[in-house]
Amino acid sequence: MPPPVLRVADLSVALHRDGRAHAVLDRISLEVRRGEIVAMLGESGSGKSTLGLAVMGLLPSEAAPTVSGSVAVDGIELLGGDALRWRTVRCERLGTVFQDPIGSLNPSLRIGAQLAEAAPDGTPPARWLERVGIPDPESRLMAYPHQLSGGQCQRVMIAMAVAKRPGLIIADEPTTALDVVVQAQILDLLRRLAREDGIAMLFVTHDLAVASALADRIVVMHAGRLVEDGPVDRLATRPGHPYTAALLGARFGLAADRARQLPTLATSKATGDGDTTGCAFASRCPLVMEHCRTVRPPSMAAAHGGTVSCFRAAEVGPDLWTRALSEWPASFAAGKTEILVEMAMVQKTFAGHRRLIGRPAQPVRALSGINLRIYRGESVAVVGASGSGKSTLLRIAAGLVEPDDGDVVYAPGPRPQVIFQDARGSLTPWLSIGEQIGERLRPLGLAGAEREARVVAALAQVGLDPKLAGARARDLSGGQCQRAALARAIVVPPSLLLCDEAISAMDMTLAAAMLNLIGSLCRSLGMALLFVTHDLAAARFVADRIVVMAGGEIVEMGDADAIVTAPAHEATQALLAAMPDRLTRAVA
Amino acid sequence: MRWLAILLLLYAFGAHAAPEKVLRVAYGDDVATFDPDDAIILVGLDAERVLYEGLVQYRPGTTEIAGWLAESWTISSDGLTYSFTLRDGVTFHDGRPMTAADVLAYFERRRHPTLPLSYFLDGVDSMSAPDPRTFVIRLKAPQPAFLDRLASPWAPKVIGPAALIDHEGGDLGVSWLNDHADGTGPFMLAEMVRGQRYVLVRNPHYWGPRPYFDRIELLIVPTINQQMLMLQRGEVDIVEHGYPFDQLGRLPSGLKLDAHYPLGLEMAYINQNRALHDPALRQAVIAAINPAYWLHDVFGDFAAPARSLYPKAMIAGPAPVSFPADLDAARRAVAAAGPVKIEIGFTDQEAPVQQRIAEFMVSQLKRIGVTATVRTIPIDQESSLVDRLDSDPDIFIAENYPDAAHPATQTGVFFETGAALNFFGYSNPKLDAMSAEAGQITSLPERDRAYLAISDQIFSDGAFIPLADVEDVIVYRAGLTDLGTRPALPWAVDYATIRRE
Amino acid sequence: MPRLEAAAVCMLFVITLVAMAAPWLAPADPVLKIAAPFEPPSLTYLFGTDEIGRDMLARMIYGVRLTWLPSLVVIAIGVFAGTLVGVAGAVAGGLVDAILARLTELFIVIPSTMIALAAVAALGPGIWHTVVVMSVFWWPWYARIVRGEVKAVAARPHAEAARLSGVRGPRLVLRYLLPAALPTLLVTATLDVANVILVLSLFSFLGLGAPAPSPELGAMTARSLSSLTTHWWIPILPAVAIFMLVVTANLAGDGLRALMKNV
Repeated sequence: MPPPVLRVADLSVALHRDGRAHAVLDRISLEVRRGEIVAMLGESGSGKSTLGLAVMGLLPSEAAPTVSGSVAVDGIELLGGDALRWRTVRCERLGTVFQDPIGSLNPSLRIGAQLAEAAPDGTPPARWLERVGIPDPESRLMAYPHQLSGGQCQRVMIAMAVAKRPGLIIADEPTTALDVVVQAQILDLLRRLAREDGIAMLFVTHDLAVASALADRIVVMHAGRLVEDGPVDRLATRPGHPYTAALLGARFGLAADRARQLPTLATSKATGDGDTTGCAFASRCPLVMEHCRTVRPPSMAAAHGGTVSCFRAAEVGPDLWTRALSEWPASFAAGKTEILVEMAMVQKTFAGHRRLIGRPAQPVRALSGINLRIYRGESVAVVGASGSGKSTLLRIAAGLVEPDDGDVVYAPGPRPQVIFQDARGSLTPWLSIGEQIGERLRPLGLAGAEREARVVAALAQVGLDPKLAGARARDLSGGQCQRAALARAIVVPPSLLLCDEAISAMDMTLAAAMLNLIGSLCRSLGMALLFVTHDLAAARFVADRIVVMAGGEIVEMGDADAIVTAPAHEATQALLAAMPDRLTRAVA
Repeated sequence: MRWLAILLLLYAFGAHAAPEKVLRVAYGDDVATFDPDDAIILVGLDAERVLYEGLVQYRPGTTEIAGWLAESWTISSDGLTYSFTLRDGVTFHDGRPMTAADVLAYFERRRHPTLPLSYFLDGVDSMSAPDPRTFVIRLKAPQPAFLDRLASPWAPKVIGPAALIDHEGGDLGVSWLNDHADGTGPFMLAEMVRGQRYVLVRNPHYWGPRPYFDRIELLIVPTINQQMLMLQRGEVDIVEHGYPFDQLGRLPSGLKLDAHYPLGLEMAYINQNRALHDPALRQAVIAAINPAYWLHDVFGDFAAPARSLYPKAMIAGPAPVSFPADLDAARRAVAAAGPVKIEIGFTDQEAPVQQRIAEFMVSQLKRIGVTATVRTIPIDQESSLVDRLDSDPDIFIAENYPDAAHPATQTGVFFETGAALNFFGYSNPKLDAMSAEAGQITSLPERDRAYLAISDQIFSDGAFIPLADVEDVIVYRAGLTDLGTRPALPWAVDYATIRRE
Repeated sequence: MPRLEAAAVCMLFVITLVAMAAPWLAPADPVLKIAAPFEPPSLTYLFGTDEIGRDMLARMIYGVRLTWLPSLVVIAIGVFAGTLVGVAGAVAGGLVDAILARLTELFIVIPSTMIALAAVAALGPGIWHTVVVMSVFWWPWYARIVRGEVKAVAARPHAEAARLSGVRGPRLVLRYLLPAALPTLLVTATLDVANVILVLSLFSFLGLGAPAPSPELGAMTARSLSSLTTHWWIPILPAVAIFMLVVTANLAGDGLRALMKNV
């Protein structure tokens, strides 16, 4: 067996914030071998990104990190060594790919120059562009980063990471900002490069589907601890840790049971504040015993052949969380025959950007000839790749954008409300949550106390602590922000709720909870739902009908299950093919 | 004749072999023009009077009239005919000899109505040059002040035919004279770089005593601070005007000063068309601006309280003017008039000193309940003050100079109805009549009494307030002597007599 | 916020207090002669007396008032007018926005200080003329900031969400759009106080400020420059005061900027 390229042993990291130490990593041990792809999976705050930074020696110095344990790359111990050694290792043996490729490239240098700098062995940069699948590499060498798409920038970053022929690549959520179809291509590329060049890869992600599509091994992080480590295929069928099981259960694939809600986890506590006694998952675990709260479970052999840190690993199975799933609440919407919104021959063209010199850019046709009806109480998902016009459709339905041509007719009633992808950004930073929810009550002319009561009720409906009415967006987590936005939308229930990629920035467990919440509220409040997403699984789960868009047109429309099982249009097929769990099969 | 020229040439070379004697003088401003007929100038007056010469002049240090280009003169018994015997051997700068015909031609030019200073000869009936050395002026009416007018710093000074004939240019030679000079004086204009410097060189053909200096450099140094620095460093020899009074008491060693009472008088002009139209209020304000409150602080020992509306170099009045002394009464008068706000103005040319006086007045006025502010008026707007009486300051303070040492010139330029420097349009027919009468008196004691009566009348009208006789102070590097200052000659030394010991 | 900057922000409040309370704080009337001229600083007259015999300390306190308060007024008018123009353009959009934006740019590119100098010279010197004329030229930067920020924030989801919540008109602008521009406005304005002070001092130095005997710091320095070697305290103290005001305003602006970045 070859020696590990990366060997992390007993690594603990504490960061300081506001003068207090927070243990972010707690005695992590991990090995990555040559040619092996290890996905590090965890929800936000689990410490998975910190591990990547710790290996690279890029922990934020303003947080005064205290580090103990050992980090070795190719047998070279990095902790306690001087900064120069670390820099040398980072330069020569480590490749990195980050989430924000455009921000990681130097905007003022041509691609070619940046590549040449990264490739010490004199391979022509064009070769690398060709390898990462950038068409017409010679001419692209002369381009500046802003002239490339996000996907192309990520390919350039990958090319730069690979070009220095590193032993190890650390990739931190490299596909999160990308379109599904592009994401699939990038994952494929990473896997191929790692295999061809025998590079070890540590791939940090919150997305189980992505992890299973790409990796040989998955390590699961929870609250700064490594709770499970196993080969990807067997881990999926024999999870040994309840948390892993939860992640698996929350993965609403195309076969999820639409008749019941998705399995969800209680929200995680703030991660380990030096709380090293007991199992960190105890507070969320359905199998918790008294023993779990006092003794930290050691790493032990698991059924899948890897290791797991759970006393009751034997009782955990993939169905741990689905054993008792809630039913949907009864739906108040009658018949689904009354037309709520009717769009007829809707057109929208965005003017091209005016340039300082030369002709204006071509106008972009966002929508053409859209005909769409939404019935009262109905749930419609609009799916499509980015640029398909699905967001424009939603914005027109919301009344945020005027169509150039065609009619949009609403049934009388409260104005549609929108849940945005950027939950935090959809809350005004300087106003309290309560004030913003109350804003929709103003036209009702309620007395102060009554208004307050309605706000509290709305918060309770979305599962938020009513005390949060006084909080600002910055005091809330991402999931809480989305719930607050939802509370604002339903405090006066609209007849139509519009969701614009409302869950795509969330990790699996949060997304599942959000889908449950949206589904429940639509049913209990009788709201129709227009759910815009690129995720066919989410679309199928939440919607009665799926509308598929491509190139500004509706290309396919029909019953949710029918669309997924028998896609007629090639755009639908492409979306299906890009689903990471399909990818798993393709790559495996 | 040719031999003489060669000898002169040799002599000139010989003179050059010895080190050239240069006098450097700081000018605070550009010179408007050296044309004696075109403008009343202060800066440059000293240069102008060594380029051009008049018929008569005041003797240094006095107001006595002496000959200049005229050796002697007679006045007919009816006071109408002035007959001047011209000096022999006078030449213009280009070498042409000066004759009575040249003088006549020049005086005709001076009388030309387009020239601003033609008013000096307003009373002239006719002029003639019966022979090359006799020039005769006949007046329309007797003018006891006429000879003083001819001795004035701005009196007619003879310009040669180079300007009046060769370069007449259709405008009486005014534009040529902008940067040339053609007179009979001991110096010639050698170089003129506006905004930087003027250079005078000694006139080798001069009829009179040879000046000590070969070359006078007049350097334009706009700020007094810089002038003072240059004087201390020896880069200039003389600061003729504006040396701060508060620093005269501690001149650096190596500097000396010459102080003399000039014909200028520090006066307050009262604008009776605005806040101060009420006589009671006016008297209250006059009580507060009494120079006794500030004279010493501003001028140290270089000023004395005014004795009348005529400078003491002109008429030595018996005692300082007496101001209303009861400040409590003044305070009551102001309180009765309601809130009073007034403005004190002065020209930018005299800003440092006048502003200080004004601010002392502001302080004193505040004590009687008057809120006063201070306003600077551009010097070129001074003469148009009379056109904007409604927006003019309520008090204007200035030290202005009459044309000559005769009190009729002071009355005529400041106090009479329509007078040139009667800025606020004061007009009192009774006073005009008194002035006409006084102007004809030839006996000096009688004349002075008449003018002092006029002064009392104006003061009691509250129109012009005599404040102070302020000495003209010239600061120079020790070693210079025979400065030749004259009461009638503001801000000037005599380059013909000044020398280094 | 670093300690120095925090101190500067406190100083701004102190200065404003001193400016407003000048009549009570000043030991004497600033235009009254209370002693002999040119008394050097002593225990009786902390800052000495000037060339008239007026108390320099009193004149300095009033000088701060005469320099500081007009600066605040200019800034306030500039911020107010700029906000109006910026909001009007950003909210109205289209032709109105285009015209207002061009107008703003026009005012930015013209040499405003020169024109302001000429305008004040033409109107006649006086502090209120100066303030008015400077205000005429001081709003465009704020208009630009507000327009940019409001336009940017109007396209953000939270502004769209507010519109969807039924908020419109002045309430939308005041509650949901304008606050986004406030941090930048506040920081810019604080840093700008220093510029206004300098320009005002320039005006008064050139004799275009408040008419004498108003104790304006710039004019006090300008008029007594010739006393520099003999009575140093008369020109130096007001110059130091201007310097301190400018440095304080700059530091405070930096401090606020650091503070805003963390919000």
